[in-house]
Amino acid sequence: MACYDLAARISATTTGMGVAMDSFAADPWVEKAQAGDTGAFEEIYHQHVGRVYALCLRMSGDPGEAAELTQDVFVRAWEKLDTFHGSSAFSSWLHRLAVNVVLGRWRARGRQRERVVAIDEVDPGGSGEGLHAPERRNAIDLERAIAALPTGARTVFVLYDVEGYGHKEIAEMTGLAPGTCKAQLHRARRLLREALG
Amino acid sequence: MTNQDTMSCRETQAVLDELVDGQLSAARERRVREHLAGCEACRHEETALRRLLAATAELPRSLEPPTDLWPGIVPRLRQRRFATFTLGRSSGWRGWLLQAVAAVVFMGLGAVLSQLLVSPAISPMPGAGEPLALGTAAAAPAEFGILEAEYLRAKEDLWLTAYRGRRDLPPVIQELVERNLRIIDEAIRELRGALQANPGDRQLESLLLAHHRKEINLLQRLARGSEV
Repeated sequence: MACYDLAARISATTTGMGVAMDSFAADPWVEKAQAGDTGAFEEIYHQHVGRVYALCLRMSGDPGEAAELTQDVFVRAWEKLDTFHGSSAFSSWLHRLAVNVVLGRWRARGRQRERVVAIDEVDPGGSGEGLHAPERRNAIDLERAIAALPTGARTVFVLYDVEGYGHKEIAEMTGLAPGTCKAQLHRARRLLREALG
Repeated sequence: MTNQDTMSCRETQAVLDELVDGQLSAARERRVREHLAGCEACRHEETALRRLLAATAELPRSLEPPTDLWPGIVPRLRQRRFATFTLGRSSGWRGWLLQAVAAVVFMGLGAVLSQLLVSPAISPMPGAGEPLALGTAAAAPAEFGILEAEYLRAKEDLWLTAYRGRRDLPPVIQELVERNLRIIDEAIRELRGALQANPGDRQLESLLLAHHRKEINLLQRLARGSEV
């Protein structure tokens, strides 16, 4: 009977039978969080907060704003969990969401932020065990130089050179033309070389 | 080498990014390297660029925030998830109405879901809120993805709109409604799993859209309670 077959097919999916999952293994924490389990979502938060905060900090250049953005990212992720279907790694999905949250906030402000910030609070050595003193100093100098870049250049540099997105993806996310992305990257790299001597 | 083949310092430095990113054609890369071989200033630029990228690659991918941000996130999660019901004051007859609606929804949901699971075509709940400009269950395959996206957007709007009245909702009602919404969410997840195994299955697509409508109707009904 058709109805029976349908019910049986749905039932089979709930027991894991006959379900062709994506190449990305299902994350039990994500599944629990999708069912509304805030405890599971807290675990997800602890697993990913470092990477999300790093992205927000480097894109914004401001530790206070980065903290706010990070919170917004996880609230947004909670709201959007149902739209995560496992067709990519959860970390990739979350990261892309984080980029969109940051860019969305800037769009909402309706203006480009041109600012120079010396972020003394940035301490890459905090997570950079194994770095020797000169390397650590260089890393801090580099973080500060990135934070001091103009917004457009910093955004493209962080997305391309730090986060590994391609020009096409960055163009899609930012709404910039690919040629503009390349120009901003060129500008960022030149400014950083000048800043670091 | 002719003059046409030689590159200037300016031309060379304009394409150094593409060189280090490996995006130059073989022929162009050869010309750039020929220039670099004979130009110390441009070689210096290339070295500095490669050093910058090496240093960037060494930056930690993860940075711990200076304070624990989780306590600032939790209350917002509860608000988003539970309080999608713009119900206004819940005292007096309004409170009674809310409880009645929630009780009916809770008690009737099992039967409704059973009906959904055995009915190939499902019509929207009678008496539901304002009709949304969304498609019907009998969507063509190409329309399914579009319709589902519309439903998701509609649901998101409802969640966010109803957020304002959260504090007026009695905890017992919150729990009941949350439980019912979870049941619907669970059914949606199961149907998505079934669709992964049987992509393009019209019955499953119809059922999934019907569940989205069911959730929207529930939210709409509850939201309308505040306007009574």
